[in-house]
Amino acid sequence: MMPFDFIDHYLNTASSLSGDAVARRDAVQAALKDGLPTSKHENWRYTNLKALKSNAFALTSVADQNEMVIEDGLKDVSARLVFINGHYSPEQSQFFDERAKASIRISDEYSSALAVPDKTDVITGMNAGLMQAGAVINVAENCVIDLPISIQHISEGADYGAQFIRHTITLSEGASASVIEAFTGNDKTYWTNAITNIKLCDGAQLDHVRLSEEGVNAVHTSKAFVLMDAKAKYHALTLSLGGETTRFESHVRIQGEGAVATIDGAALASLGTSHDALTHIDHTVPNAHSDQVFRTIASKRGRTSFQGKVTVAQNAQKTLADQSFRALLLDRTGEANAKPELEILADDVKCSHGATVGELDENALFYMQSRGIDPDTARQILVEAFTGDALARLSEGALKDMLVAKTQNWMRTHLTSEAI
Amino acid sequence: MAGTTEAKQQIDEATREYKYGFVTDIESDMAPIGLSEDVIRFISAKKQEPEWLLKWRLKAYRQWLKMDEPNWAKLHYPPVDYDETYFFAAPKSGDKPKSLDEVDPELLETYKKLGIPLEEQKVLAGVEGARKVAVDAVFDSVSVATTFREELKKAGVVFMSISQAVQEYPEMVQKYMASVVPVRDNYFAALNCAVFTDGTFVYIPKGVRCPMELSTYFRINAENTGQFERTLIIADEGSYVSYLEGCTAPMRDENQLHAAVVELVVMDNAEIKYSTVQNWYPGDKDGKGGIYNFVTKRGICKGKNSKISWTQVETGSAVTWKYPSCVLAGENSVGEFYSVAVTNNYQQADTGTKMIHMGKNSRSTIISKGISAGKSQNTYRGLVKVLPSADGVRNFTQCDSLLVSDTSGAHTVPYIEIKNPTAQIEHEATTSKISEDQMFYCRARGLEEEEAVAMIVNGFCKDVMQHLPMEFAVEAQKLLGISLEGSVG
Amino acid sequence: MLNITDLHVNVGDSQIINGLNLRIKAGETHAIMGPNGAGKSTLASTLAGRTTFDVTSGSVDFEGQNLLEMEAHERVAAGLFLGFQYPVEIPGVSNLNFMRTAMNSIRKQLGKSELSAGEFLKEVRTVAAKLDMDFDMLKRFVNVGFSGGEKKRNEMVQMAMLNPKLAILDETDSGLDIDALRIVSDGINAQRRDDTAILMITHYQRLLDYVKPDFVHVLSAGQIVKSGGPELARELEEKGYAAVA
Repeated sequence: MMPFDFIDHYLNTASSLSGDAVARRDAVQAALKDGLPTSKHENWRYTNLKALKSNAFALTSVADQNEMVIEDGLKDVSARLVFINGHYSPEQSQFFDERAKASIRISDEYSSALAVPDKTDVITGMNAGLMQAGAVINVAENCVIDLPISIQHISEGADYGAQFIRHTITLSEGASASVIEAFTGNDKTYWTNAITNIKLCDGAQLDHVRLSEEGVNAVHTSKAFVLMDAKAKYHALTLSLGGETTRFESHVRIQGEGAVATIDGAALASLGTSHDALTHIDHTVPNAHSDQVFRTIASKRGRTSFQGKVTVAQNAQKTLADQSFRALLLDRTGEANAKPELEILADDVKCSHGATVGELDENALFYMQSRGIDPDTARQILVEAFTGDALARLSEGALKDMLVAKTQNWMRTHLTSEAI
Repeated sequence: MAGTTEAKQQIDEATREYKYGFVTDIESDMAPIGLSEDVIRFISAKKQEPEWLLKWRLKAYRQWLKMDEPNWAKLHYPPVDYDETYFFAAPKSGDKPKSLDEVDPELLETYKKLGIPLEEQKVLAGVEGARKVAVDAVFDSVSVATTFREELKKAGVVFMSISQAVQEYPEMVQKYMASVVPVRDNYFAALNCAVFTDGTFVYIPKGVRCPMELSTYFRINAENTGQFERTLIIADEGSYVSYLEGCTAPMRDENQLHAAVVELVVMDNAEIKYSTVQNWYPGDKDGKGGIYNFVTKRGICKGKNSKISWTQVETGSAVTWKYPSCVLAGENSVGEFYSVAVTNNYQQADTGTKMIHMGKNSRSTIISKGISAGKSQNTYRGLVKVLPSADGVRNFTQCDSLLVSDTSGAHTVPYIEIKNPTAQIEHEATTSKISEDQMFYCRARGLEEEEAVAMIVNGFCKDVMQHLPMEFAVEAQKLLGISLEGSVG
Repeated sequence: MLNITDLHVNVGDSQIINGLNLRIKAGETHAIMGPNGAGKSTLASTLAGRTTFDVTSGSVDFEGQNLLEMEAHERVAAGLFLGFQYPVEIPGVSNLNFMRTAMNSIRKQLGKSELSAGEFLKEVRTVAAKLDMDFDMLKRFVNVGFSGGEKKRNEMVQMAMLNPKLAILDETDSGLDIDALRIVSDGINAQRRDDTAILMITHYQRLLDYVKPDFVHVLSAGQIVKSGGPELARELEEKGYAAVA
């Protein structure tokens, strides 16, 4: 159980936020009744949330941003939305595309609705009750927004800030967009709790990237709830580079035939950090396709985990569902956990998953070295090729280049012999 | 339900009452209904057990009261009412069929298909007055069994009931019982510790290769010991034994609840091969009746180069909860798990293994084949864990599920937990249905639909079946076909 | 160019190379032959700097440098090349990226500036064309899905690109059909110059019909037990290792 004043704090906070105060209070109360999940909860087997039990956590407040320069590494975007300490910053945000401008508004209203229901989870419930701000993106029928919508989240607060962010993305029939959510922050202890609610109507197409470069003492829990209609395409990539603990969840429910969901992720853990991914793809109709590729790397007390579940309902015949998880352990202190799970109630399906854990291929390292490549470079090339599998499906362009550069940079700082 | 405070109170009250009112009747064949410390005292006294074992049982019982029935498996069954269960009793003779005419005709049909002689059918079906020598008959004659026993004695192999071992080899039993599956390991294991009625004890001395395959057939002395069985097998340095458990013929059993514990201990350079064919009553077509089978099986490879190989063919029981596991503590030790689980009608199976790698260069292989038919649910659940100290570990896991009906479920829940970078872990899983091409090809060569399914399923299971000892393999193959009858069309 | 003196090499607890002596001068082509388990591949990998092999005593001088003190990639920069018996597959890394990284890594070690993308491409195209390698093969991942012959051809392309002073070819002929063998031997012959040397390690004499060695050595139980001219190879082929060594 959680200390009483912890709950009390959140309850009082919830009532003071905008929107329906009573509903917010109720949401928090309901969520906190069982306390934060522990490793005994099956879905939280590999994620440790002890850090969040501190009584000191308080909702973040608006930051002084006079000195701030926001840099998302992307030259061409259709819009750049900036959230600082959980609050929208109109000063820092910019719109470059009329269609994007017409599609986006900002809201701080209470909302408990989720595209895919998740009634049991404390993290989700707290987000509903304590949500501070978020973007509401509605892309009209057949409207195509070519350039990415960049949503930057920056934590520049004091210790023990908790920020609750909730975005909603709806793509009408035939609409198409690309959204990147990036999270960065200072080295204070803070918690980012983010939810992205996504509805894709018939034939809509969304590329959705989430990038954690949170500060070294941060806890990041983010969840995407995705509902897919017929022939919708959802491509998700989660890239986990920062935070003391980063956890990405993707809950995808396919309710229209011919939908295609590709859920990929890469996590690079080092220096005692823990990077977790949990996915649940729920095939409720026939003739849909899902595929997942996750690659993780752990060195220097880093931990990675992947819990990937695919459920296929009884009538969801001709479902194709694949999943691949591979982990590299780069030294004796790294740890990798995986729980790839299939739950299948239809008979005419093809489902598979594969998982491997191991170290870098010694033969490949020696082969490269015997062609004159120094060991650091060789290791970096191999690790990059390994994680590259997870990024392979992202369409070529500035966004992908930026993400590749970020992983390379991570490897340079963490994987050279001096760093090891 | 026991385990809750309320239930505990009730039990406390009940036992308090017993203290004054209840007099243990050693002469009786039955303990009173339900479970209490007095019932355990009764069982222990009945079996003339030493004091230490009674204390151990009572401790286990108190532990069990504090525990909850596990609910994480993908199994749904009405809660077992432990207060309405006899823990030590022959069922009332009135419950037994008087002759084969009263036995479920479908069961008899199955016996016929397996080619079981009439007299043995009576034994298996539990017909009143059938020969007590019971299952020995499956292997044809008592005399053969006696010859075997003499041969074993010559080799120094100890093979006896665990009750007898408690009397004759108390040190060994005390040292190793619950050393692999601790009393508090899980709810059903704790229950077994408290109330186990009998089981098998095997000791293979140093350097001895057991001259024959040991089978429970030879040993089951009376009916009804199967409910809470305990098996302990110790393979000393450099020894080898192959142990067969179960029977291809479906055994009629009045006890719905089964909670066995099997422990294997393997020393340096020794090997135990443990094969099971489980075909207990699965319930009828509508899911009525059938055995609940909650088994804890675990072996420890204590010594270097030691090896445990589990092979199981699970076709029976209404509910199966079973994870034969290996603790690979010794250097270069090897763990293997080969499993076929067939579920049909309303059967539910949640089965798999745990491979815990502690020793350097330990290796494990997991091959699991699940076949779901009818309205059944079939789950593979497994854990591969590599501890930081275990360098050079190798694991290969292959889990395949075959769906034979669109009303059944196939589930795969593997856990992979690795804390050593030198480990090489590979896991693959697939789920699919019988390919229409394969079916058509078989039909075009003149096979009936059910024959075709049986043939394809047998092919699907080949990687596992080839690990069964010969005499089991042939019968098990037939059994697969029979288990799937009525699943197509 | 290469001077091996009293070399002893262990793998784990067992001694594989047991006091080996060999001297190779510029312009020479040597062949080491020997039965399986004689230590041929151990010698090749030890010279290339594989750390799983433990040099317990002896010395190896390469162009005036102590080879044993150098790391594997430094040996390449110094001009040593090992052609693998089993070239390694590296998924996710293209041949082009691999070769370019290698060339530039060596140039960096030698204090030279990096090759531009254009310069590199021009060179690799020329070399690939000479060795009949389709340019599309270069875009594919290193050795992934290559046939045995394609892998060995890839080794030859790499050798030509790196242009080593001393090329050690470990069973380069194994598993090749006649056409592939010709391509490989053409590659080796092209590398024979006054200022380079070749050390072929082989079980069969077949390759030696295409690449005529100046010296043939018989390796047995970790030592060179007999040396001679090309005629020794034919003698081995006719009489077997037991009779000759």
